Amino acid sequence: MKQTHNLLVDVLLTPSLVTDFSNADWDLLVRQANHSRLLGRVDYRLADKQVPEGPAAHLEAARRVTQRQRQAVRFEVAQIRHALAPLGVPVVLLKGAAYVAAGLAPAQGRIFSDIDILVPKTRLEEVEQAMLLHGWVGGHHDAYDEEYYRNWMHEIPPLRHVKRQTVVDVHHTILPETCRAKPDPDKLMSAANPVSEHEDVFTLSSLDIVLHSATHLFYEGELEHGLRDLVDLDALLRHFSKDETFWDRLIERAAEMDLRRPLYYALRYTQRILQTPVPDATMRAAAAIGKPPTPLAWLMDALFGRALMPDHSSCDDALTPLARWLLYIRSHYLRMPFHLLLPHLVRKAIKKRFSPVQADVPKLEDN
Amino acid sequence: MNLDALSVEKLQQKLSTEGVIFRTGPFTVCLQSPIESVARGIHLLYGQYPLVEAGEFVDFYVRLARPRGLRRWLKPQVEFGFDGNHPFKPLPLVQAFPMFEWTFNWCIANHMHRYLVVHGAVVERNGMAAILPAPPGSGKSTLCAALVSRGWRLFSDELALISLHDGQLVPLPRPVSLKNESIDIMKDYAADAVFGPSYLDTKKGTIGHMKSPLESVERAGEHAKATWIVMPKYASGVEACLTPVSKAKMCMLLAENSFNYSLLGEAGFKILTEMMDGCESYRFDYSHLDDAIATFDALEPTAE
Amino acid sequence: MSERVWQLVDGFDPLIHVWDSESVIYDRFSGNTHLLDVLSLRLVEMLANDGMSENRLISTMADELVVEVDDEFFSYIQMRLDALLKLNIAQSPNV
Repeated sequence: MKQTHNLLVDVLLTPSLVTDFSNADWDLLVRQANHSRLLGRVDYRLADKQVPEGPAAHLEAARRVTQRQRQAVRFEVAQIRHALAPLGVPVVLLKGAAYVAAGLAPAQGRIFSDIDILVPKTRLEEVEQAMLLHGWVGGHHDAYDEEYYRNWMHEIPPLRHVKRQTVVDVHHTILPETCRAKPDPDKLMSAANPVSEHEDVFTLSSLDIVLHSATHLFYEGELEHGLRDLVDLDALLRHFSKDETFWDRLIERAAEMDLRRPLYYALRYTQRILQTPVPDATMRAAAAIGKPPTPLAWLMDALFGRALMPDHSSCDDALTPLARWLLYIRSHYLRMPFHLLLPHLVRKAIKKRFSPVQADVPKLEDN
Repeated sequence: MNLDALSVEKLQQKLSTEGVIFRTGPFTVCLQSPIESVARGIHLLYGQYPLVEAGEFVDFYVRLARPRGLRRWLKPQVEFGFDGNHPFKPLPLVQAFPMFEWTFNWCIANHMHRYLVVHGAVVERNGMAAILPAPPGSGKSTLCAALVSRGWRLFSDELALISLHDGQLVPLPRPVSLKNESIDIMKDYAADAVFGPSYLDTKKGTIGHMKSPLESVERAGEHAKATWIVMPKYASGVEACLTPVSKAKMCMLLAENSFNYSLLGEAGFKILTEMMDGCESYRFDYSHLDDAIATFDALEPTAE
Repeated sequence: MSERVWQLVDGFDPLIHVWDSESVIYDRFSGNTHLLDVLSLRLVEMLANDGMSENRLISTMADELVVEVDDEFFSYIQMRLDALLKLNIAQSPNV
């Protein structure tokens, strides 16, 4: 395996390393962080360190972006609440919006795209109507996409606000219904905690926030943000485990919610890659209930070991593209029945959704 | 050592392999490209810019090359690579050098959020700078090129960089891009200036570039305070005329013509309003370049 | 005369910069920036602490400007209030 230089993780774990950095080191760090969407996080970790001019400009830019995003999330959540409060529907914030609302560490230095909310399935239609009334419209999806979202995924197609162009994903459970694992959304909602400013807006309980983060990471296929999601997980685990009873309760809850496997992966890879202080007893317990059969475990180590590296050529080896591809396939396999998987993937390939969409070169009006 | 210390051939060879690192204003760019017209364009129009040693910190990794795939045999194209990512569709191969200019603008406007980046030209004289915000049809680039050929220092013809730390304008002297008739007009008006080749762009007409004066490049480290905001409006036959515009209206105009004002939030608002405090704002109607130069030369800061 | 009650939108958190007869406002909550003439700005200031009825807004303004409250003045102020409504700065919830 090619010698990889994972400066990014080294610095996230040991910020003081930068005191001996050469310009070339700073250069590589910023590139790896940019590709992994972790530049804001690096800036946060280096807050009290001396940073030379060149990289400082990039860190400052990332900081401003994340600050603006936090502001935008707070505003958008208030608008969502305004739209849904009259219905008396409990709205649970997920992922980034939850981190901001609950003041959790992953909000520091993180960039969000959409806002994810969880509502009861029975109220989905009302919610969609109310959102529409307040300016969030469904995208122009074709019939296949509509069906894909509504029947196979765990959300309605993303809603985009006509004026602000912000996007809200409305979920009714945290995993697609076609998954074999079936975490009960009612259990999630009944354990949810209200956010301080608004009583009708909630975040998941600390156990469920961790499990959701783990599930999202280890069931999703697009792992360009895999390391970032792992960094979030690590921050959540370190924060919540200040309560000594947390680890045991986490194991229990994973079993209860049918999320044993993602918890196993979460603990294994945060520990291996980010040195998260997972107690041995917890690791054994998680393995006992969630470790896959040995050959599969070895395969997953090989795949995730690569896919969770910074998404930069300096950290790739020959097998990295294959690893990412296999995990992508796997995530779809986990989320839909096999007989649907192949046509779906073919269709995606045809629509070139796997490669990022290219825009036209922006040319400033010359005059 | 400057870029033109290398011969075109040597430059092309470096661009095709490890790339060439050079500094423009406050930014360090590493450019790689096997395309010959890029090497020639860089050599001609960026010759006076300092080369930077490998191992230094680089702001932007830019690669301009032909995209992979079957299309390369049917229709020659050039694609922009940004440290391994390809955010934009390819363009016809002949537009490779203008593509460098466009994508370099994008790099700055999208990433350098320690500046409020406004779409407009900036010129300076005697330590005082004028921002020329640029809605289309303004004739901004032609006016900028003319001013710069008559003693004004070029800060930028496209991107006004306002430092969020001290509100000063930061120079980014680069080739001035001109369109259609402006190219010939400027070749007449600025007989000593160096011009690059013209590129036919079927969507927007012909594009050409005027090389930045040497002094502007050499003095790129000297910042200046904004003193005037002048919104140019070219119209045939019109008398040169400066009309005051309220600070509030000009402030909103600059915000609307900025790439990252919205992203910067409170910091952008503060720096912009502070800058407006110290500036006079005008709309400037003109038709003859000589009249325009005379008007600008006569600008005096009012005592505040 | 109208008994509409006006108040500022929840969360509105302005930074204000004034030049002569105009001002620019940045709302820290929404991230939006607006241009307001001094009269509109004065209306925003009057609503800063509490809601106020349209009548009271108009009569207070008339006192400050030392003018008569006639139909023209009335609609002048109403126009500004409606503009503030459109900008999502002020609201007039149903009583």
